Amino acid sequence: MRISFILATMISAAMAALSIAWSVPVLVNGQAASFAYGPLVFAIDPLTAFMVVLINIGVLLGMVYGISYLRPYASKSFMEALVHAVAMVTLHGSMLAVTMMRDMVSLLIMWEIMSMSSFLLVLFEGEKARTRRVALSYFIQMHIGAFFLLLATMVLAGQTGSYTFEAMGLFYAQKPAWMLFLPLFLGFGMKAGFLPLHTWLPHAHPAAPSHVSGVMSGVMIKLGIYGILRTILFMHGDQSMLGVAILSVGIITGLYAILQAIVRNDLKRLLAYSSVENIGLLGISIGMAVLGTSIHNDVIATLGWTAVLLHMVHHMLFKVVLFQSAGNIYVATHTRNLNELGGLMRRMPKTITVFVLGALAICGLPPLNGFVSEFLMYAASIEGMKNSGAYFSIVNFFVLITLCLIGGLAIIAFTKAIGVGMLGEPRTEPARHATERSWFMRLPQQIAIGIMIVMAIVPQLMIASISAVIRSFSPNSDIVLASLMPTMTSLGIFNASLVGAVVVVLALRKIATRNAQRREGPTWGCGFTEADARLQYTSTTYADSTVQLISPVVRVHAHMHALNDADVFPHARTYTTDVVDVIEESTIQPPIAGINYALRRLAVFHTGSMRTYILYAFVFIIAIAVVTIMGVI
Amino acid sequence: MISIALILLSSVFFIGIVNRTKSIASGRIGPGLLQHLKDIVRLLKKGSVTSTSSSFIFQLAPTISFVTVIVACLFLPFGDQPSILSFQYDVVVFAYLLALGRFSMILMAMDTASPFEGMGANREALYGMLVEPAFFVLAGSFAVLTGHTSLNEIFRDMHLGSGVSYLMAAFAVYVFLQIAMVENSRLPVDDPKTHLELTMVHEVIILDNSGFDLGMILATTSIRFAMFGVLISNFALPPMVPLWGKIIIAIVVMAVFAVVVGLLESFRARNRMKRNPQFIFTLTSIAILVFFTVLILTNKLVL
Repeated sequence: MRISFILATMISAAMAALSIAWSVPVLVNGQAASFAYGPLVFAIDPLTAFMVVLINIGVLLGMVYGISYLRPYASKSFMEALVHAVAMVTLHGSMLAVTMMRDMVSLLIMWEIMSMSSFLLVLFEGEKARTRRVALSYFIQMHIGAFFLLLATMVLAGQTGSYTFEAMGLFYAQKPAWMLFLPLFLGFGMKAGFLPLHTWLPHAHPAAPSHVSGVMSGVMIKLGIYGILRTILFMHGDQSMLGVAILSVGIITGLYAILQAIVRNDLKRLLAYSSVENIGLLGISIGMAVLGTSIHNDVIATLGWTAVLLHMVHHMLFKVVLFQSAGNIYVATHTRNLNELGGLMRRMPKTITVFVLGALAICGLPPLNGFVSEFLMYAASIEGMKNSGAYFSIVNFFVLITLCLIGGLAIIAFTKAIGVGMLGEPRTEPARHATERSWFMRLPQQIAIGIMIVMAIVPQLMIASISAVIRSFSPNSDIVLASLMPTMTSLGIFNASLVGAVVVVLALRKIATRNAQRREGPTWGCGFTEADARLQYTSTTYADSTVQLISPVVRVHAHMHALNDADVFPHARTYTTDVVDVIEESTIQPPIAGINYALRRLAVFHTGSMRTYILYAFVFIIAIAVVTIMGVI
Repeated sequence: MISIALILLSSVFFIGIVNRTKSIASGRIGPGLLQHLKDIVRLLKKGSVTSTSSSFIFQLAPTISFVTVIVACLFLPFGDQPSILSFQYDVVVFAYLLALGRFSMILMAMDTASPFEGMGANREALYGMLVEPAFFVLAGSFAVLTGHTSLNEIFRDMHLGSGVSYLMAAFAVYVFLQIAMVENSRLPVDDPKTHLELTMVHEVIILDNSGFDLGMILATTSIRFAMFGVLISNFALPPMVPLWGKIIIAIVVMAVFAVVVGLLESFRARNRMKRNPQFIFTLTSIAILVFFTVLILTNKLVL
């Protein structure tokens, strides 16, 4: 069955080669290109070219991984496999097409194809009831998003009589920007996962197979960001209030999502929330950039846009790495629950090392690429504090605090994932018998890590290669970038020399300890001799101290039976906890519960007995007759 | 150049002065000033026992932690004497280096499969997260005050003209002092001399380390302490004083710092673990006070 997927990968590779061949010249020259295929016009400008490169790398890494990830699913029928493969190629093609469309109607069509094909991909393990439910809820939520986009299209066409993106510029010049931007932001933000529109994300990512969740989280949600960027491209004048609004949504999204990530025990759900957190970081950077443009501060604007664009690529890379490594762990142990894992570092060291590197990067720690984009975000916020009036100074001050809180919380979340799930002793039998995956299953992650390392060592080249995109957002960016380049070069050298310093000290350590005795022994149990794997800190306890600090935002329900007076002798007891997403509980579930309630009430008519249905028809005929006689109709 | 030399030199005596102060305050003779250095040297020569549960992370982490602190020291200037490494926004790099060190130590603790070390790791992660905003708010405030973004230029151009700005510097010094206490796991957040694993933070993380690695960890702690000493003494280095005068000032400031730490630890009890987050939040709020003072001083906020 995998033959269809291999074929799909080849088609995707061809598509990637073709689109990259078109895009790279645009990135280099900064000159837009377009070609028509009947009524369809595919246009490539620097932003599109940038997205094309991002999409192609992410999707190809995912598909190469998929070839080996799908091996255990040999029992799937040929038809299912074919649908999966076709959906994958369609998703790839539609994502590329979304970035090339230049009017709202074609964009909506491509957008819809993208949502449908990703829906089919989530549905891959449709024999599980849970997956079906998740896929359906994804399908519905995507269409709520599409509804907002349709609304925006109507507002745009109604006001300017045109569906093209250029009309947006016209609209922004005449009317307050929020009238168009709000529905657009809701529509695109649904895909990206801004709060409170993120609720599909933590369900869909774990339900999808790992190669798909990598692509969805690394690439597809970036299309939401792309949509927002595309609309901002046409804005002009003072949009500072809009900037502050996006920035605030970003702050709330980032903080809330990373707190949720800390309390999750499902590895892939933790990663999904971390994606939402990164969308929050992107929102913050977009907000800062819009602010900078509005107050005519080129430094803030350039730093902001550079951070946005770089972080999109960076997040794509390390999210692909993390999801695929989580996929390897799942294949090896058949569980994603951190509390059932552990001890994997000694059993599958290559996979886990790659995961640790990905985690380092996503926490924004040196010396990996995540640090480069976070560095730019910090730089933008410090510049914002420095070079603007009291109001924006204070706004940026909040950004600064948020950035370092998110950084610290991300460290808690990922040390939890690694420390509990992968280090120490295995907690269950499946984890004890985990074995390393084949080299081919690790290859895409290693390629991604390779790109990440290059991006961390020569960030100045990366920024130079996207300077055309930055210029389209901030026309005076070249001067700022020229003065930023020495800093970025130093940062790259710093990253490289940090690794060098560690290697040197390690070598010295080796020399110094060559004559010293080395023994192995059990972990010091602090006087307790019966220590076993169950005594280790669990994922739940690791998160507990944070949960206590922030309890209203993160709610943990504990299920247990309290001891009665009659329980003199102890017997087996269970204690389980589960975490709820407070926002999902308060925004998504009440309306669904209401609809369910109303429908159930209406179901009294649905008796299943033929006589009642005949009665309904009879009552209907009588009613029609009465209404006609009364002369109402 | 001078700062790194000063840091390495003073790290030799720092813990010694702290311990000596504590012993005098409690009426003991106590160990000599160089006892800590002797301990480290002896540990570096000793053999080691590693846990059968642990992986290469356990071997690697002390080295990473050591390197991060050393590299962070390279970013510190000494008054108007520039640091070895410096570029725009290097305050961020400074903080993130310490965070990288913390990240590796947390993973090292989790790698041993010990329940106690897991607890310590968790606390280290939490307190590290809580203390970071205070540092960044201060760094941001001084960036606003001086108009520069690298540690080098900030300390070179820090104008402490009026009485208000001295007050502000005093607040900043207080916050940095407390950040140093949190980062180095001293009282009132953590007690290095406690004897119960349940109440430790830093000490419990390194329970399983021995030999060379333990020596390196102890050296890291001393150097980090001295690094904060130099950072704090930078506030007391006016540009008109000649270099030898500055060095004397810095040595005096650091000696006072060590004595203060020793006295604090002699007469103060450790916080209850539950109170620690509140305590650390207080630091951030003081830092926020500094930030608003800066806004007023730079005429951004007109009252």
